[in-house]
Amino acid sequence: MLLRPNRSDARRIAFALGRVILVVGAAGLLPLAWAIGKREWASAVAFVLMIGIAALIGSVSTLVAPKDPRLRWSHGMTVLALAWLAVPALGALPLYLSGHYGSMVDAFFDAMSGVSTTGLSVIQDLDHLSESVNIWRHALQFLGGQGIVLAALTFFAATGILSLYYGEGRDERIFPSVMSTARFIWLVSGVHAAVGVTVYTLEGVSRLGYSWSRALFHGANVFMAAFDTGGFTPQSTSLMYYHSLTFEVTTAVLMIAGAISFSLHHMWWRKREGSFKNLEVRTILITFGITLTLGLVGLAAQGLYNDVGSLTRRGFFQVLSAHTGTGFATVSSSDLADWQGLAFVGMAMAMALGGMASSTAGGVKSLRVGLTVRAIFDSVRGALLPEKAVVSRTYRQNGQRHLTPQLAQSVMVISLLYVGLYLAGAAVGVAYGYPLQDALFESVSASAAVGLSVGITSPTMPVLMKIIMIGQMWLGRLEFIAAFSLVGFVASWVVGE
Amino acid sequence: MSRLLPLIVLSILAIAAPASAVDLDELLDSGADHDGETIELTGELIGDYSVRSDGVWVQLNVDAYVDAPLLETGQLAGRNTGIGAHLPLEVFDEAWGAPGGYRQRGPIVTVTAVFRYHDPALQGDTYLDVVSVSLVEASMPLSEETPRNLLGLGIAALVVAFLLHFGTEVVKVLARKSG
Repeated sequence: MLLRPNRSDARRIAFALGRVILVVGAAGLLPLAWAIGKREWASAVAFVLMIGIAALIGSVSTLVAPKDPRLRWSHGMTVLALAWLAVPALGALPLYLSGHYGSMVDAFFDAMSGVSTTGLSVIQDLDHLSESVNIWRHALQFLGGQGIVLAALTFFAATGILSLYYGEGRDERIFPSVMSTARFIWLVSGVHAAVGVTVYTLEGVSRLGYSWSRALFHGANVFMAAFDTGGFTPQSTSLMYYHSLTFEVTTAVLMIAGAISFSLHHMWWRKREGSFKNLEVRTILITFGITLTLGLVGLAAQGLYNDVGSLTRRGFFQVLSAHTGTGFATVSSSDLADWQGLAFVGMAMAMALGGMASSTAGGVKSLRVGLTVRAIFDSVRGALLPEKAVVSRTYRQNGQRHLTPQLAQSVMVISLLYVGLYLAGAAVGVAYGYPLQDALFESVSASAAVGLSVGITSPTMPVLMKIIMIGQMWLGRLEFIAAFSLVGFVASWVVGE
Repeated sequence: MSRLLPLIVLSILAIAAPASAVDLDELLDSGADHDGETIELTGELIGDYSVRSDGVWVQLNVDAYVDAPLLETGQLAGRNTGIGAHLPLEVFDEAWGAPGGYRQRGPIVTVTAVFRYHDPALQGDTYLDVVSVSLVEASMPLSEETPRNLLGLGIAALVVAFLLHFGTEVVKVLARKSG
């Protein structure tokens, strides 16, 4: 029997949701300041409106604040699923008012793509967009990559927040307290931001001949999209715009940093040994090696590049961009569509597998891939050994751990759900008349929060397909559980007793 | 002289092989077929002039917004189609005006260039190796209206939010005082 949620449940959820929206409103102050500084008045008005609406929602949520605001697990998951719909809805407002989107659905598509750190876009005439709205697009990626709720937690200490933390795709706490863990994540991001933006800006001014303001604009935006594995860029030609090896190398380093779990960052910061013995680290190194080899061999076989230098530079960057779930391109969409055979397989695999758990990357995640392979390997070994033989089912991940049947089952279920999501999206694409290979590429790109495109994602794409891709990005980023909890919450509201 | 040499060679090549007007989309879709061809494209210079020791990099857009800027017409016409263009320093002229961006329609130019596809010299970059540029229309600023009604709405929302928040706080304090 399902228990119908009561008014107190609704008030707790509304209150927590209001807090999250307030934080997003506060984040709008950054592009607002830039808009005022650059005299981009129309954009400034859009941000004032968005901040006003966020403040209003936040204030109303304070009015309905329950006496006991503690969140149970189901509350937390519901808040999370709703927050990841409400935030892009609010964030879409300045995008839509910029006049660069054909409809509110298009603006919502880009906002969802931003917060889910996907990077697919249906914006039109990006090259004439105001700087402040461009910053907002990238800030959405930064917020989403860090974790919208995690950002809110930093400002509003709340009770019962554990479910919110885990629901955003973070598997373990680095410190005993979630708040301390949140602060560490911001510290890591802050240090990378300081170094990354400085390198980009100095390269922009000294070698690329940009003004300080333009160099900072490009540097800050590319940093936010690189470290949070988002993939938006300020110009329509993606990273090809810069024609700079320094930009590419810096971006590659930041993409790797973004796809690494924060617990691994912590191990490295504390100079703890043994990180390379972790199952997750070994898995990602092996899968990156395999996908890179496939990609390079495929490109060589196709003869798309005439020399080793070109093949290695383009191939390495694109496979890295795919595996980390970033989606930056140093080749055009039409070029990417020409990557056939093994090159396509390498790219699709890299996108589908994704980065590490508890990082800013999407996809199935390396830990799940490693555990799935280990579980299958153990099962085969168990079948081959004598009946009385004891099969050790352990793995190393920050210490020795047991691979219990429950863990193996849950890991495989999530992995299968991802595969299902990839295939379902591809089926929709095929139904709309796109070639299977292109439809699969785009579906994996959306579901695994990558953002590379072979050209299907465009403003002229059918509306239903846009909505389905929004759903894919949402489900993929939430890793299903929070979304299922929301469905359960709604169902218990309707049919519960 | 050494800096002028490549330009002279390219110019001779350009004269020897007459430029053909092509569509940029087609060029990008079948790049290998056009590698090394001398082509002619008319479009808008976009973003930033990246002035370096060996020339100037800029993005050349050839799309619907070249003839009909969004801020002038209000008509969306799809995505931008652009390509990187490398200009010799001798060809670049600051008098063209600011490159295109927000509230700025960049200079409209006709470029004669050699199309480089997956150029090994630049480790696989695809771009236009520009030989000559002729200015069609100088850069010009565009205007945009500030939506005052939306500003009023935003400020009203902020005021109401402020009153609600502090009103609630005052009520709480009064309730506490009255026991």
